[in-house]
Amino acid sequence: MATEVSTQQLLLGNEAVALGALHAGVRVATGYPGTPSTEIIEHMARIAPESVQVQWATNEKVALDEGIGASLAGARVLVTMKHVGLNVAMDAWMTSPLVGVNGGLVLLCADDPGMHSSQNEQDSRYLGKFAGVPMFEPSDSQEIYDFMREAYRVSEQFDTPCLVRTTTRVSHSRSRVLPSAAEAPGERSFERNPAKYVMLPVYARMGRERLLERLGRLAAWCEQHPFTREEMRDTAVGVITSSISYQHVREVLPDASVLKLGITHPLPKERIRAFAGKVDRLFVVEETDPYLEDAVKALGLAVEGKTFFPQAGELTPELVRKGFIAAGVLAPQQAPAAQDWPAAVARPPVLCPGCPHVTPFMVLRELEAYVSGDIGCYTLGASEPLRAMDTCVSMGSSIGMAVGMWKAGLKQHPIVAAIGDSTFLHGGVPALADAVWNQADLTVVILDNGVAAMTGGQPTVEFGANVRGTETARIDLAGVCRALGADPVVAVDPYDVGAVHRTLLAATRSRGVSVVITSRPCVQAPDKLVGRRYEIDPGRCVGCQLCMNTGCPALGWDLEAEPYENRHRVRIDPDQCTGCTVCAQICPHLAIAPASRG
Amino acid sequence: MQAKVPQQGNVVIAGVGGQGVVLAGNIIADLCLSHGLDVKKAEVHGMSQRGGSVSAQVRFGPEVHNVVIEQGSLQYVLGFEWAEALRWLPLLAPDGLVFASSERILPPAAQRDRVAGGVNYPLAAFEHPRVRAVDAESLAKEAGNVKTAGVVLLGALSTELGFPVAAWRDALGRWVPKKALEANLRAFELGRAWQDTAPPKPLHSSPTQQARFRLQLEEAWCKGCSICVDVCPERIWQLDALEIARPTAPERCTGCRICEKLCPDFAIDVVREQESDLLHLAGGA
Ligand SMILES: Cc1ncc(C[n+]2csc(CCOP(=O)(O)OP(=O)(O)O)c2C)c(N)n1
Ligand code: SF4
Ligand code: SF4
Repeated sequence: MATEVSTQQLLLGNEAVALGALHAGVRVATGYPGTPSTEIIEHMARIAPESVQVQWATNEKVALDEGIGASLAGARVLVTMKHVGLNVAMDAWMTSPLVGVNGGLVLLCADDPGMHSSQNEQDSRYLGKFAGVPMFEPSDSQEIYDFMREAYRVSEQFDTPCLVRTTTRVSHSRSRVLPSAAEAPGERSFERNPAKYVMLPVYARMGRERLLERLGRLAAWCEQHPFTREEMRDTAVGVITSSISYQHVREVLPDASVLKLGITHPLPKERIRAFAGKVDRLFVVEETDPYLEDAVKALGLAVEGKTFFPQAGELTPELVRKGFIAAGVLAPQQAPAAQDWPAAVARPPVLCPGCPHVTPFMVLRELEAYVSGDIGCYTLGASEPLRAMDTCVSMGSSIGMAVGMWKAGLKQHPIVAAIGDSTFLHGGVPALADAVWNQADLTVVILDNGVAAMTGGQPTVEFGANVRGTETARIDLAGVCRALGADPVVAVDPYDVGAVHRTLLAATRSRGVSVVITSRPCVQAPDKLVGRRYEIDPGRCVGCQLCMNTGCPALGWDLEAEPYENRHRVRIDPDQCTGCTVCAQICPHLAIAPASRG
Repeated sequence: MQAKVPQQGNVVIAGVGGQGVVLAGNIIADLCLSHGLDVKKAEVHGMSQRGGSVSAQVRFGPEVHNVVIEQGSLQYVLGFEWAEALRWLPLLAPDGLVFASSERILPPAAQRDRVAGGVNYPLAAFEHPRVRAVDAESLAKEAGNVKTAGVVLLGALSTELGFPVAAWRDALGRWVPKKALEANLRAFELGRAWQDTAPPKPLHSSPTQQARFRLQLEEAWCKGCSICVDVCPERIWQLDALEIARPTAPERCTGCRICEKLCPDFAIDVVREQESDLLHLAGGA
């Protein structure tokens, strides 16, 4: 076969997931966005024919439920989420191996070592082991593609869901992929079988027996599997490794023997024992927790690992090298001559120019409210200069935590839960019902921008479309809140600073559960929004920089104007301003007005 | 003189969101691939849309394992922004080379001289034998599209990373939108003829000595309307138990005089206490 190496084959890890699943013949793909997994469903929507159902679900548990349903109905199905999303889906995840599959079911879970954009650094490999399912850990895009293909075969062969676990580096790196022939899995129909599909205790006990028996078979299977690869080189040092750590080891210790594990649950114990017997000194190199190391120790083998390689954060070749130097495997390196480099610039993420999330936080800070925050772009409301969020734990936590604060007697200032629209529909709805039911006095601010902006602007349920852009049903947020018994439920335009102030003041003074919905589209997605631009009259500007308290990145030093009392006057970058008018509304010197031109 | 076609190497492209960093990385990776080399590319996604740093690392050679570049082995940095380029210096190989746009994009957090100590951007002048400053912004404008600044830098890189010029142009053609291709090819040519420009001039932020102000209140005239409390950007004013305005942290006064101007009863006087040095701005000193 002529293997013309073309650009299409330089695939992002996440693109390889989608392509692998597509070539395995999936008919349904669903998930909830979350870095670093988001591009999978988006790419699938681009490459899959209309006959494949591709969609965003409202949360990860719903996505997995859809996946289980589709599998039992006979389709091969892909379910994607980030690591913390698997916690949300945990209930269904733990029981689905008892039920098994009909069409192959593969869950892709993307971990984020180093927490590039996450609230924790959990090692989800424990969740694959916990559920008792076959787990794959690819180390580049080609492996992702191949492992996806194999995972569907294994899922159906062993009647179990499979977990493919990636990490940020693997998901967000491009490397070569040579696809193999696509398959068309045979038709499977839904068979009514309550003893297998209805988890009454009597049937669940049988499911549990099946699970344990299956684990025995899987243990034998993984010993022989080509994804368990022994690379014998110099035997002074042997390294057991998986995922991206394999690449680090190959780079840093090119001559060491390696046992590369592509399947990390169950573990090929005999292969590990045999490998350990062939090398003088045995190491495990793995990112985050000592998942493999503990398992190797449990086999009674002498092994070294986390003593030398950090448990927190992402591994890098430098860290792996440092570890092997500390272990005496590599000779210490001459430290490079110390140089006087300029300090690295701090460039923290900021809300966009014209972001509709700005004014609610300006006002909440003014009201000195206790703000129980949530996860999304608006979490940036916690940092300078808005600094108006007191807590943020996990998606959907804000409302429940606010109820807890109220119940604990926090009364000096009003309690406000600030939650985005996607997050509200992900996990906020049951919490709002709880707040009404348990009679807390609090205000819920729903920051409604129509999309899940933080993850790149995926449509949410009141947007009226899904990932492919075709029209779907639309949900009325205010109606949902009213139906749950919140009162009052008011909408306000977040570009109207005075109105936001009045509305929030009134809402926080009312008893019971009030809801304020700040409603404006995100300026980034689905469309880039620009209105009439604003400019600052340097003659009027007194450099108080009050406008810069909005955090709008279009506002910056005016390096041309004469400073005022030694402070820079402010200038609006015309390329960035979206014309939201917020700065003009708060400038006490009325120095900001629509630009004279354009 | 045309440099040799490289057999292995690495490049970092660094910039901020929206500058086309990921695209430039794809072009280089594509080029390596079309020369039969193995290639891996790491992208840093995530917070890029929100004004954060963005980078892409490309490694190529006969066989590439790792996606990330190790300290001391970095060969080329293409900096689409001055400070983002300098960020990578500690990784640079002794014979590594940095092509950095002389354009500076100051993060909002660095531009708060009203609040002391806010600056954390390298404002001083910086020169280094392995750093070439390229006025990519002006060259891009000359090419007819400011957005081609990244391609200007690709042009500069092409004088060192010696893939055939035709191959560079083909790769551009595969990745750049048709409409913009002509301007991009012009930018590439201008980049190939790059010349070392002066690195960005030093920039001073806060004055060496701040002016100080005294806040004077004519108590008898204050009727406790709290306008000053609301308007002071430094939140200095507060009403006391008798509903009289009191400056709580007068040392924070920046002299904007908003309270003075907006007090309906002319009860506030903002008095300048001492003369201070003049502020040096860009191009000064
Ligand atoms: C359990 C879980 N799933 C997914 C994510 C990833 N994630 C972070 S923010 C976000 C979208 C939030 O959207 P929204 O609440 O509408 O706020 P916006 O970003 O639009 O302001 C998602 C999906 C997460 N952090 N945790
Ligand atoms: S992407 Fe949208 S929601 Fe996020 S900061 Fe920008 S405008 Fe705000
Ligand atoms: S109007 Fe003001 S606050 Fe709004 S985007 Fe423009 S500069 Fe920023």
